[in-house]
Amino acid sequence: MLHDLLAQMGEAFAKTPHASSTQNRVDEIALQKLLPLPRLSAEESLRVYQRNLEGSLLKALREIFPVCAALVGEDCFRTIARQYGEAHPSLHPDLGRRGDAFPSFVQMLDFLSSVPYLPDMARLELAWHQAFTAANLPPLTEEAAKNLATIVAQYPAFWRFILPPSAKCIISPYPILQIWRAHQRDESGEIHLERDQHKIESDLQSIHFDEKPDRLLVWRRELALRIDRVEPQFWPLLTAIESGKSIAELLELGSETKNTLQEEMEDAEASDFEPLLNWFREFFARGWLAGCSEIAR
Amino acid sequence: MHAHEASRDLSRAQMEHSAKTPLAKGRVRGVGLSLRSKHYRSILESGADVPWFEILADNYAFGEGPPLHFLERIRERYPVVFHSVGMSLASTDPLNFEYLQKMKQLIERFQPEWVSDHLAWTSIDGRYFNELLPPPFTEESLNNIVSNIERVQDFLGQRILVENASAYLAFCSSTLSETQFIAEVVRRADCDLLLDVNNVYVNSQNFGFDPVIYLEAIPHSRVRQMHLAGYTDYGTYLLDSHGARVSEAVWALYEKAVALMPGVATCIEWDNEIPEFEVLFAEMARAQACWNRGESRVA
Ligand SMILES: [Fe+2]
Repeated sequence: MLHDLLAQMGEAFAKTPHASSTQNRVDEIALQKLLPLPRLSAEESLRVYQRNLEGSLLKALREIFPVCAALVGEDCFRTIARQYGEAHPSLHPDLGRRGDAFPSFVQMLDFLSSVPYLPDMARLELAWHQAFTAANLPPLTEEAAKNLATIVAQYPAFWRFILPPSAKCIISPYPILQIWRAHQRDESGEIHLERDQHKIESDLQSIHFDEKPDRLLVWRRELALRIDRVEPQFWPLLTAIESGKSIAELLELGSETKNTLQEEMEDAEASDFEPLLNWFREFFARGWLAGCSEIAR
Repeated sequence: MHAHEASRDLSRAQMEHSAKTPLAKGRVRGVGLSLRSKHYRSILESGADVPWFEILADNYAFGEGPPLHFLERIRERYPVVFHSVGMSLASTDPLNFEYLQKMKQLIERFQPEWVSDHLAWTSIDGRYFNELLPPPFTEESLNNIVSNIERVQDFLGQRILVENASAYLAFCSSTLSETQFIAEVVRRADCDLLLDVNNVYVNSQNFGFDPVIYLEAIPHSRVRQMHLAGYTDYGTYLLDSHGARVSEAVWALYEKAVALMPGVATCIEWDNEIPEFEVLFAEMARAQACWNRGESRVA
């Protein structure tokens, strides 16, 4: 049966080249279906496909996670990619989705404990990758915002803000933005892979790990990908919008946040903390708000 | 987004496309290039003198953003054809109509002159390998791929082109030669062919056959497009790597191909270790010179 043949071949192709003896059974079944070529034994034929598949997965992941790849080095990244490929077979023809489960996967790998910021870096890179092809939804215009305010103010419990479809909030206890920036060629977002390991290490040494957590918003404005730092006072509100909270809930949260922040912040920022209404103006000015939508009752 | 979401959306008006993409009027003819994101800017800024582009539709079917923006700008200036890698025509899996629907939308938006995919499978039992895998050349496999091509053509409302793929293995169960298989696919499915000259050469070296006999054996009247690309020589086999210049042997084979099938639109594929645009442009010019010789022989 054709199906069985393709299924057996697929299983064999997906194995790591020169894998251990536990996988030989799969190889054996596949090899029975093959003839040697003039210069290639059946076994070598199988290895060609195993290497091609491994190579294409590695390439796809390296394109989405270039900084992660640079941080752990070629051999380690290949090992991670192999394990990821086996744990998360691709179920979609879109190669762009190949890395969707990668951040949570690397978080579970014990041997990466020496690079604790890797899962957060993977989240940042995935958000960047996804923002690139996210749907277009330009920031609200001033006029639209005014119209919207009057409708929304009457029924705050039934409306919520929406962020640009590309937007993703990312928080990390590590200075991931600084590390990420150290690996970029320029501000245009073109990725430059530092292949020189010494360079990466010296970059890392210059990074201060005693900084405050990174609160970041990755998003795209028109064609430009951006990573904005989010001030601590805006974070609870922004993440609440991201999780779909109603405007009424935001108002409540806003007043709580204000109190907590005023207690916590010992510097001059506390006195600068503006009334809640101002954050709407500020988010709007930064282009973080793409619209409002009605919540189904 | 969220399940409880919006029955009404105040931002919807902004989301709708203001106008349809204006499309360049010209037809696909002569030698073009496979479009790569790396070259968007140099093509648009220089107004590159390329007659048409082949678009890898899979790169544009699943999202918006800069890729679609640049494709619109390209399409305003150049005619295009679509190439895809996700139809998995040789698989026994049911066709992925979610994927085909995305393709159809992209086709409606950008109006390519034709659409092509491969005589290969890329998925089985719902698992995608993102690699073009060869089918066995058997009657069962033939029936399977023919029925898939027919259903894709029905769904898209047009004849598609199928491309001969490179291979590095031979199935014991194959009862037909590659060219017999191809000729039968084309005849039964009433589809067209995309002849990849590099793949013919790669397979001729890997399988030990005469590539000229191969060229003579395929149904010439069905060949609507050709591909040229570079391979990598691994000593015991050639790999269709798309990461190098077209080899001298493949140029020689292309001369034979244009003599047998003059006037067939051809494009250069280069998608690994992609060089500067000028390098691709020079490959295109060389192919165009071959193409012209084929044409002038007919004249
Ligand atoms: Fe090709």
